[in-house]
Amino acid sequence: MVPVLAASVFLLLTAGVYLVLQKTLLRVVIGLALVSHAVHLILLASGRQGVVAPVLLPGGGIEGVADPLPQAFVLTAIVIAMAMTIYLFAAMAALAKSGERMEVEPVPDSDEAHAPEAVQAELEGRVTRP
Amino acid sequence: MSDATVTLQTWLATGIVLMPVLAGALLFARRESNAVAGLVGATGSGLSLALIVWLLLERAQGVRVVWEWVPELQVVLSWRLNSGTLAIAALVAFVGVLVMQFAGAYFGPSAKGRRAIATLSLFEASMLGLILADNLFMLFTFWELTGLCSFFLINTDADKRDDTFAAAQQALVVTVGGALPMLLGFIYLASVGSASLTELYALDLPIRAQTIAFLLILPAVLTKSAQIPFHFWLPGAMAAPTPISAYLHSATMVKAGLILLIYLFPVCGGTPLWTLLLVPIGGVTCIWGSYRALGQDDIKLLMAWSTVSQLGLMTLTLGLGTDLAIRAGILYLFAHALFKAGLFISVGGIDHAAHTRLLSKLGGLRENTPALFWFALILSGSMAGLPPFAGFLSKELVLEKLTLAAPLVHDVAVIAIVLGSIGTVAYTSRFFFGSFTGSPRSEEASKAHSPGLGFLSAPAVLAALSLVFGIGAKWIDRWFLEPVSWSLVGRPIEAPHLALWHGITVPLVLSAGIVTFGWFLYRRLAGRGLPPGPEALSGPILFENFLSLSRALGDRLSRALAGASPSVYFGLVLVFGLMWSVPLYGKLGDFFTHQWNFGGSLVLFVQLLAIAGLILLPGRLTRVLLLSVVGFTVALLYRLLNAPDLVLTQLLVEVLTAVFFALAVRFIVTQESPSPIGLSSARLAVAVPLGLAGAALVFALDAEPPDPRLPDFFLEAAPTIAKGLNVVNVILGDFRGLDTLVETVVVILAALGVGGLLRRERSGRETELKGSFVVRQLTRLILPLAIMLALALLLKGHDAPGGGFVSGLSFAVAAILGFAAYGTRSFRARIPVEPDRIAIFGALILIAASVIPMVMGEPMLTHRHGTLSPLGAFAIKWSTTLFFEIGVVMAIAGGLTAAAMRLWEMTNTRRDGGI
Amino acid sequence: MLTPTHADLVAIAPEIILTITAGLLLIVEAFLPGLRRHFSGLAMVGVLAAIWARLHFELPGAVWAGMMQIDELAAFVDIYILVAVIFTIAMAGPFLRRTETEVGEFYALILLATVGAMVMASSVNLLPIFLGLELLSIPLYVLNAFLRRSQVSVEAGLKYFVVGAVASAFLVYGIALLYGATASTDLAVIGSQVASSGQLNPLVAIGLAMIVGGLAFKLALVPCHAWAPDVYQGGPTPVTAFLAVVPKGAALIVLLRLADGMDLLHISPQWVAAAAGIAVASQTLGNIVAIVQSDVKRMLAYSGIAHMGYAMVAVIVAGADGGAAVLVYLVAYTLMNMGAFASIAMLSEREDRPHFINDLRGQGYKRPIVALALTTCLFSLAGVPPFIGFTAKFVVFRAAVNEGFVWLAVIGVVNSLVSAFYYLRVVYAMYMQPLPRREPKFQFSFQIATAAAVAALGVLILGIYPTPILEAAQTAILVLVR
Repeated sequence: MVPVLAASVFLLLTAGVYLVLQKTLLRVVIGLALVSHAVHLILLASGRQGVVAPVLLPGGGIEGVADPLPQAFVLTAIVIAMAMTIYLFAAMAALAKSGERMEVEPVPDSDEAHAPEAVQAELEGRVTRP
Repeated sequence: MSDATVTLQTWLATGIVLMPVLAGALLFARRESNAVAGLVGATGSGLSLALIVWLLLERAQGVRVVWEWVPELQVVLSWRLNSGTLAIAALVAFVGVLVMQFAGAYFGPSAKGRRAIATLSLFEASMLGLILADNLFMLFTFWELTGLCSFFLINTDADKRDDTFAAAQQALVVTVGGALPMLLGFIYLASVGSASLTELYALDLPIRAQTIAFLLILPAVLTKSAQIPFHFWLPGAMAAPTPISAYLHSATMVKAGLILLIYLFPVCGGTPLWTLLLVPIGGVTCIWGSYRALGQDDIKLLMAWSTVSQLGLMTLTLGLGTDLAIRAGILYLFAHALFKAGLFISVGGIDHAAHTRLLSKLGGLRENTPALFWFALILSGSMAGLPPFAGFLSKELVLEKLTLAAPLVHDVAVIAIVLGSIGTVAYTSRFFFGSFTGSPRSEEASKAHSPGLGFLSAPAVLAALSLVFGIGAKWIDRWFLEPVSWSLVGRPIEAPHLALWHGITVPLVLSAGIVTFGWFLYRRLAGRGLPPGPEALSGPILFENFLSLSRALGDRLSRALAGASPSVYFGLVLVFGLMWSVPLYGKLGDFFTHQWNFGGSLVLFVQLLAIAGLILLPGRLTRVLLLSVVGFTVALLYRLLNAPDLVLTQLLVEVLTAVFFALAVRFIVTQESPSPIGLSSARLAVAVPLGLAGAALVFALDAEPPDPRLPDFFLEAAPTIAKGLNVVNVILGDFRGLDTLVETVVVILAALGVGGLLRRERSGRETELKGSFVVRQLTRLILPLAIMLALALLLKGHDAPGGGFVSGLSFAVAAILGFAAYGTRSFRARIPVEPDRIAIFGALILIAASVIPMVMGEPMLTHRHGTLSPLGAFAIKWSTTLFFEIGVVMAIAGGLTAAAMRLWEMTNTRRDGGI
Repeated sequence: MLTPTHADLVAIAPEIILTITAGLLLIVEAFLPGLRRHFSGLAMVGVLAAIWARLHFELPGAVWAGMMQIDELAAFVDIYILVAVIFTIAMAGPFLRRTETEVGEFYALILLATVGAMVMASSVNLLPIFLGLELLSIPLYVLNAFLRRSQVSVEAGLKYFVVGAVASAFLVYGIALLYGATASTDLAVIGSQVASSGQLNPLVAIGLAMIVGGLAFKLALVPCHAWAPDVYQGGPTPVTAFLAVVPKGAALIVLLRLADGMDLLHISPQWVAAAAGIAVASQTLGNIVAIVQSDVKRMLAYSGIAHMGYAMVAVIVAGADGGAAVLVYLVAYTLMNMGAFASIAMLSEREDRPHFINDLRGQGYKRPIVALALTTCLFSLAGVPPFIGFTAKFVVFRAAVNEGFVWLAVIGVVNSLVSAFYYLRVVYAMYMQPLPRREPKFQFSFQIATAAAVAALGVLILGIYPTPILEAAQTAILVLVR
């Protein structure tokens, strides 16, 4: 199972990072989803994989049972990821409804309004800001 | 010495600092005329001076601790009393008396006078504190306070002149900022030795420590005492009114650096850098200051540059680093304070009399201001180093010391001092003759009137002292210089006695030469100005460059980094992370050594196709659909990893995410281009190595022999304790009940967030969308099944895969299906309670399940177990965990449904007029 | 100890109180929306009760099967966080009324985020730390977008969200690696394993780098800083104040626990190099870029980046000195920022507009108390004595020098010098420049002014007499380095 897991992590992580590095928000969101899949798989890989699910604990020993802790943790992580994705969709919808572009470009630090000339002009009282 | 004496002296010493503070506070509180204010300020200083004299007469010696202020940081308020510190304090307080009195006259009726004098008093207090403090950190604090006070003092005329704030800011940043490394130096000294100066004197620090401490403290000395390249703030600070310049920028504050050098000489005077750095810096400053003073038209600026020059001279002298040099430095420090304060105040008098300070307009003032003429003559003579004044005595002593220094240092120092002093003679002549002799060069000068007593008393006293200082050399030596320098250096100094006349000696010859050449220079220049010289040396260019460089850099960085899209800095962070994983790439070879599992490979293949499609295929919806496919493949991988809980959860989450996406799709995809995402090499260059690193990590993790203790603990404990077989669920519900609680809260929060974002005003006619007939019939079939499934998951959860989470998710899917088919209005009509309230109730049950056992005196989340068999055969194991799980279900299902309904209503209803 | 005991519950009594208060607020909002005016009071009562509970009950030490450590350190951090929350709530009331967004959710979300921060700061196990972080972050995503009529606000929420999601991924990734390498999520176990091996094996190193990366996003340290200015500028000011203080405190404590537990200072030169690089880069970039800002909130964002750079120096030093320095720095940073943000919350015309420094012209005489409070806080931020900001820097540099990091301290000092420029600019505008012709209309609020004044007084008094804070910090940190 290990090489399959490794290959899958490779695929998910590469594609995920690739998409996170895109500009539009939807792509970033999809990328984040892929990255979180990869992270969850790594989490599982960090415990012993075992041959039996801990669910069906055999009556006797615990030989070969998969590690329950990462599983429980991944469960939590999945739910949180879902909650965040849902919120994100709503936020995107709210933003789109108000006609905003949905790029994740930040406001530049020194745009027109901040430019020294504008500040200077305002200092001298020549221009009042709109 | 008795305890009572110690206590008395402690209070006396504290009183020295406190008196000016009281005067300042009084002036801030009461509106007094400037004359009264000057009197109050002078009284405060006078009281300080009296206390100092008292302590001097008592021959107070040693450390007086007032208060263990912040013992954790070794900050102790304590005074170091000896004749040296007290004498310097006396000088400051004495000049303080004169300056305050002068300020009272100078400010006239101006409204700013009272505040300026009050601040001046506070400044005086800080200065006295600086001089008397024994604790290094207190010294630092007082040091910074002087800087702060000077900031406000320079700003006194901020309303009249535009450049004042810039000058004040410059002075503040340079002196306060320059002192910050000193703090580190003090911290360093405290860590290798002690925070008390007195205790440091008793130690003999290794040269390395001395060097580090000296280098850290040096910037403070150079900035405060206006040494090149930090000298520019001092001429700039002349924007301040004259009394302030006279006090801060001649007699006291600028001396702080030199005082610190004197104080530190016994501690780190052993480092060779002491001489190697101080002598050249002082020398250059001395020459350059003289040169610039020579070129000034404004006599106040002339005095400022002359101060720079003489500070350089003193730095150089102290830099020679012998006991005798320190002695000479101390003498010069006193002499300089006397004549420079006097000259500054005279400049104030001239300004007041002739309404100008420009040499090009002055001249012939002797006629109208004879008193000022005589005082200025003595003071100028002292500055130029003519016998029999104080300046002569001290310059002689400095020159004399040079014969004792190492040869190279000797040469450098002699050249610097001689050149600087020639300049001094020349510019002093220029000032004196230019102002007082010849004929007036402007109408104002010819109509000059003699300034009042308030302007004359201070120069008179100072001139008299300069004279006494020189003539009484013998007594000065015995009663003043010897005790002061001995106690400051910490040991007796063998030195020839001071005298005006030693016979024909090298220093005397040098002095004579200096005066001759200086006079010659003055005659040659005859009032012509000098070019200001290289910019790097002449002005605040360094400071401005630093500032503008910072600005430019900030602007550029701000555009380049902060203005970049997150993809850039995510990339940056990721590359940063990548560096760490390089050593792991070797693990990738394991791809070929491990056995590939068939089912897994199949899933992997599907995943590969889906991801390839995601990036290469056109269409926005395709992307989201393929994302779901990827999610399903991951679920299958979970199955292969023996994690059935995750499979269920993952599948339901994929469904729910897809549903939410579908609800919001109209808004979400508007900006997304439908054309394929395509490949770009820059992004791949970041992504592929990271992906490989991830794969390598999986192998590395596999190779790590897991420590079985913790998992086995859970595995063994689960069946016996919580009577459940599904270990994951038991962990979730029992061991990690708190975590579950948190997760549920997280979902509620997301739902709240959606609600908050999409909160909307109900207005207008709403048309509602619902499913077609077929859809409704289908739903009628599916809905009960979905609910059954959810219930089963909930009830069997304790043993089989399932539990609150998945159950809640299934309920949410069912509910969304329901309102999608029937429309939200009829859906609302059919369910008893609003979904968001269900969520709140769920949360309440969760809280109750946690808190009620506590009230009953049992641990939270205590669970009871049993088996319920209503039909005999169909046994349901029950457990009070069920309540907890029900709470989870309600919270999650309610929250998600409520959120989905909001989205649905927003996307599927229109107001009149449409969107 | 598998099922929670009485001690477990008592130990998290403050968290429980806050959660219940949050629940109450939601219920009241749902059923009795008429009581909205009293929400901030109710929230305040909850926070005060939580403080009382933390002070009143004995500190039991390890609880929740050893996952949380409720001791003096936890108490210190909890109280520091709760005090910050009091300021936030005090600011929020008038603010929400003005922007017509006063609803129970706001306070509930703040309180839940607080619980998250407290859980995070008192946990010694990676799992609850992760949960705490999520619980802290998600409400903040929502709160940042709270002024839903303002696009800037919603956008700020989104940005914070995207960055937060990346940070979470980093953290989980790191946790997975540490678990894989040490088979434990317990910080003490991980720490002792790593410390005893005397070096970082690659798995641990990458795991640690990932966790630090995740936390660095919360701390807005370079290179994970770029969200800060946008989010500070766009978010509602009370939320910005909260965001600037509380998550950073919690994240710093986690970092400190990691650094101390693994004894990173002594076993890993790579860590020291990387962390010092981050610290220096944050200070330098933060300060230099702050110089050119014309928006006060943006400026404070960059200043925050720089300040976390200073705090990072203390984290590197770790141990008793460094740990105490981190705590003192946090307290100072909180007071100064709360005072500054409270003042700015009042000195702004409209929330979704930039808060130009120019708009503050002449306010020094127009609104003397607020301006004085702001000036005090700015001077303190610049590290001028006798304010607490100076004490904090003093403590940090002292720790660094004592541990031999003179060069780090020197860089820090040079940076503080640069920072004086931009702080002074605001003071200059307020006191040295005349009121603009078109005078901005600021809405005075007694409540916010009080908050600002109290913070400024704290800055001054604790600056002059820092002993209580220093002693508390030293006692608290002893738990960690015992």
